[in-house]
Amino acid sequence: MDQKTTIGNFEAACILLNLVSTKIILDFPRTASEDAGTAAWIMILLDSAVVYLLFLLITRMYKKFAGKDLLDVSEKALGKTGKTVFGIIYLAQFMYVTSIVLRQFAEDIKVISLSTTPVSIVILMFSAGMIVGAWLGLEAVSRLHVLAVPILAIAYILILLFNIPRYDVTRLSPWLGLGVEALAVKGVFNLSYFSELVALFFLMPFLKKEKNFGEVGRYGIFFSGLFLVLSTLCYLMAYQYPTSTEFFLPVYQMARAIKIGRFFARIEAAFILIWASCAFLYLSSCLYFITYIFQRAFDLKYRKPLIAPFIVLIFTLSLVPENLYSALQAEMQIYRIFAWIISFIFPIIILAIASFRARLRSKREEVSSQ
Amino acid sequence: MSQGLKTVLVICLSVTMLFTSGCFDASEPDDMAYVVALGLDRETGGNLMITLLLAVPIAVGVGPESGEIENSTNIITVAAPTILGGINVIDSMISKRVNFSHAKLVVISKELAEQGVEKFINTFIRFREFRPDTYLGITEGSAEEFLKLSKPVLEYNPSKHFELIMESFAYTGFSNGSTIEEFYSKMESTCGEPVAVLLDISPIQEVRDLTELLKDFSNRNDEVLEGDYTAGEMPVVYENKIRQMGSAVFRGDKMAGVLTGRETLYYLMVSGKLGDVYYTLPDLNEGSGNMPEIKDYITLRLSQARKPEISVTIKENIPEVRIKILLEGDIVAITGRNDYSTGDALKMLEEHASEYIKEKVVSFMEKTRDEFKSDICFIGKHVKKTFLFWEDWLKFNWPEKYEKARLNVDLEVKIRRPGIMVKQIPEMD
Repeated sequence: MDQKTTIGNFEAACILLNLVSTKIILDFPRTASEDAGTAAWIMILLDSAVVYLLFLLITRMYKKFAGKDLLDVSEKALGKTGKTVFGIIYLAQFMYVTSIVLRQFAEDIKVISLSTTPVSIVILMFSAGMIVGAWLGLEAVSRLHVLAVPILAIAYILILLFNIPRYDVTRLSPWLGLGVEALAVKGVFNLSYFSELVALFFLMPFLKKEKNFGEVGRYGIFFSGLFLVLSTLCYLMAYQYPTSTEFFLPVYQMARAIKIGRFFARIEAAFILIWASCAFLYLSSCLYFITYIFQRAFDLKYRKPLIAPFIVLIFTLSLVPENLYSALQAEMQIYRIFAWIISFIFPIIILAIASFRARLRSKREEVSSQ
Repeated sequence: MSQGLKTVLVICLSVTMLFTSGCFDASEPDDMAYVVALGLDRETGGNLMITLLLAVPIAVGVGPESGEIENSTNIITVAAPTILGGINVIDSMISKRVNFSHAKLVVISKELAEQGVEKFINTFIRFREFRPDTYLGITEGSAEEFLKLSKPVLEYNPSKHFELIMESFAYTGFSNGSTIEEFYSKMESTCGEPVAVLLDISPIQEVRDLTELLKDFSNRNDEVLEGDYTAGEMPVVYENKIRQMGSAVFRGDKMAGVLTGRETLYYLMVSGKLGDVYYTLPDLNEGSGNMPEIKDYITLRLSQARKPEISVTIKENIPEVRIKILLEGDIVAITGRNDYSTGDALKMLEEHASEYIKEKVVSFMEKTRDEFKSDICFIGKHVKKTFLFWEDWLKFNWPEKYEKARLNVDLEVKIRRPGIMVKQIPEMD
């Protein structure tokens, strides 16, 4: 049974880090520079700080409910209906982001490597990996994260380091980019870059040290924030604004540009390996969470039979966008606008109501006992 | 899951991986025609003339066996409205599929460059087969002719031949090593303009032609030293007729003029890209030998002691540019009888070199400002960093301001070593 599975804090932090940071190898540095120009890195730094503060608040509120996932808390707050409603909301969020990211990965791999392979075949290949991950469960997925995430992080840092000769700090000027207003307004929507942190609230029952979930989240936010800021900063130092808004896969572009002597070049071939590994880890974790949330929301006994119908749904949904740009738009124009509300505001509301009702209940018990 | 089932699953997966790896995107290197260089000309009907210099791998040599230089490349020219349209035509008639992943050089004719290169550069940046480090050159004449006459002489591998030639700017300073990605980035920049490598075909066939050419130069007032030429004017007799010297200067995507080899060296100095180059300057005491008509020269090996410091202040809407360059060098040759290896003579040489190079750098900078109206040294980025908001920077309109800039150059040469001689004793008359 999945409920008996336990994972360590480091494993949980690795899952969070990969879930939040995978977007770096997709389009993140470009979209950030589209939003705030040369000050994109400042926007992401501020976003990281805000997310950190929000998380501290959530951690304080969650203390009473340590060991319970967000759906348990919603049940405490709003009863069975609340649990089902929020279950559906989070399920929809994960379904939406997974299908779009799956399509993006497939389209990206078509552009950079498998140019004549039909996109459906590429999606199918990723789906096979997702099924294996979700089937083997959280323990296998988390252990694989522990093995892969440090290697992927080192490989990514190497790409940034090899680009050092191309960095020019003056490319970050004008320092406040598209203006304070753009930083503030877009910054709020871009809190959604951290939306996958909500996964931590579903990992709660599996943590070996339930009380330390705050630490897991803080490490996850710190390192993912660090990677997001670094990626934007380095990308903007290598490609000045507005050229930085043109490249479809910024990190791939940076990997392509690496040339150390005549021998050490074309390392983007290695990049594709890093890239596919991140994709498999991200997508299989997401499929796991989708089946887990559905199982919990509807109090089902088994999770594994849900894998087949959900992978068919995700596969179909991922083919809905007409083209690559529509898939990107679906993420930039829709997901980013609402995801931060679902990931940070809803948990705060749920926790506030649950705490309030718990207090009422305890007062009522006190009165009745007197 | 039982052990047997696991084994079967692993075997099935391994076999599937083995046999499906090349389902759609299989490509045999043997089935590809690798482009070494691409040339673009304007055809009279409005089409593009696309010339490909293809590598013939078997002639380049296999393993330890040496190849045949003469047959190592193959040339093909097609007229089409777009580059990739032309490639399609070529693909339909040769036995292999054209591939650009090993292309080293893109040559565009001056005629096309003057009309604007944005539409071509876009293809090179967007199409993933082109590498970002492919060099970009502008030829005064036809790109097709240029590629036709290019033949590797000291190198079997045509790809390496082009790469080595283009990289030579690091030790000659006569070119700039501009790549398509660098060019594109600069072309789109709001604080500077791009340059490309200047290429040409030499009209010189024998030593007699060379003398004729030099006669033209001797009529000029200025002293003509090595590198004071553009690619087509180089006084060289050599089997390979293609030449690389100087830079093609752009304003936006349109070519605005050319720099000679020496001017390109000053461009590298101001931009902080100077490698380790030989630099000749006239001796302080001209004609000190027995024959006063023969001038004496000193050759230094120069390099940048540190990156140039550039500061810009805006006074009454006019930029006041201050460039501080610190060079260091070794004495590698003195043709005269004076010894500058030590003491006061060394100090004199340092002052002389500083003054001489400074004068040339100022004249080069003035040329970029007055003649080309193009900030190729990216002085603008030092102004841009004083701005907070993008909108304000765009309104400031740097390209317009650069045309009125006041240029001050502060240049110092430090001679660190006198070569492997510490003194020079003149021959007794």
